[in-house]
Amino acid sequence: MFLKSILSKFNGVLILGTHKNLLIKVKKANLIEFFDDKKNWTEEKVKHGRPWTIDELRLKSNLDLHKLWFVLHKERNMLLTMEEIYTRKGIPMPSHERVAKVDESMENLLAVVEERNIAYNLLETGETKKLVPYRRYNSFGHIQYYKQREYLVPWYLNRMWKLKYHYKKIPVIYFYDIQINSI
Amino acid sequence: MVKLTAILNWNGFHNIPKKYIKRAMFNGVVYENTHEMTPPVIYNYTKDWVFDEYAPWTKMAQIKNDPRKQRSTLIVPPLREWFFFRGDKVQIMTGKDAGKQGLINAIIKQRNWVFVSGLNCKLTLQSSTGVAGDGEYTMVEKPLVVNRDVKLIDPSDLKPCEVTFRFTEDGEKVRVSKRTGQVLPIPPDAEATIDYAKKSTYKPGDKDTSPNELVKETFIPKYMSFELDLMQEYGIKETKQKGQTYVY
Repeated sequence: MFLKSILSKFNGVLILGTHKNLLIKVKKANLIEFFDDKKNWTEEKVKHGRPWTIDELRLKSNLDLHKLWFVLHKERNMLLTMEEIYTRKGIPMPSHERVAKVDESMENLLAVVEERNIAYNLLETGETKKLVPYRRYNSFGHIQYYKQREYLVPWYLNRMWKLKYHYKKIPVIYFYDIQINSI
Repeated sequence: MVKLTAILNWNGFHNIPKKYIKRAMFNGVVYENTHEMTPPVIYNYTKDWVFDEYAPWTKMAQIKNDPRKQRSTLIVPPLREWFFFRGDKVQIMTGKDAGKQGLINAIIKQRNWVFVSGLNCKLTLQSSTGVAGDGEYTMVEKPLVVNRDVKLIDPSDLKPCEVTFRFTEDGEKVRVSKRTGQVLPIPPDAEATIDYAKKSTYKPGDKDTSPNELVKETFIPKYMSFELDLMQEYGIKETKQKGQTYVY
């Protein structure tokens, strides 16, 4: 009810925030946006383009990338619901390679964001601050694939972590990370 | 160009991303019938994929690469350079159609294969079950191995020749016949895909970005991380100080 009253007040357009050269507007959301255009439902092939490349995304500003992310996210949601419906009905999905294309452009976008953050971190601290997964021994002595995380307490105070991964932290060589010790 | 069969150059002809093809060529182990009294069934999809005229995401290729099937190991000799493009005029050197000339229909680089339209065909029965097209005979083009069964034609004397890549004075890479030094231009059919005949004639759809907007440069380098820049753009101010955290 509350949402409905807001939407009616702004005539279908919600203004989230304002800035001197910027107006963020969100259209009145309909559930039908989770589905493809009605024209494409019965077609064998849907006309579509190609994914964004890294070189094209490097030209765009951070704000543009942030907007593009949500466009791609929305498209991906739509495609996944359509995929689900087609599998339930037992009909082959038209141009089913679209999901992979959206995935590829999303990956490229994240790569560009990471690049910019690494450049900033290297200037600030001299380290990339990149969380690279590596292999280490767990408490049973087996080699295990391990992903780094950010914690509030150091490892020697983290009891659950010590039970899982042994109290002794072994030295690790980073193969993919750049480490600058002295310039 | 006449296409008797549905064989196409799926390498470049279909605009399909590499990730999608990799997903179709599944490499791993699948466990079935677990949590049962009977022993589990294990399928090893760890063999190398055998490429064929059928694209890897089609049903036919999935059946051919079934792990339950026995198949002999396949060795494909690697080539140093590739000279053949779609739309090239070639002469067949071996087989029943030896000496005949035709246009290249499709290419499969993984097997060093080339298909020539309307040549080196074989009659096949469509099906013997009660489906549509029962009892129909169709002409199917058979693959030809590059450089052995097929050779490019010199445009000056219309005879088969050996080819190399050379550079012109302007720095362009061109195909040249070894015998006469004639340049073999790359045909316009080479860049055709399922969406367009030429790259310049492609019309963008509803969801495509316009080419003017694609090239537009909006990035201005700042001494800021991605998150800080967005916070400044949207007018978000953070008053709290970040505490110490540990990464391990």
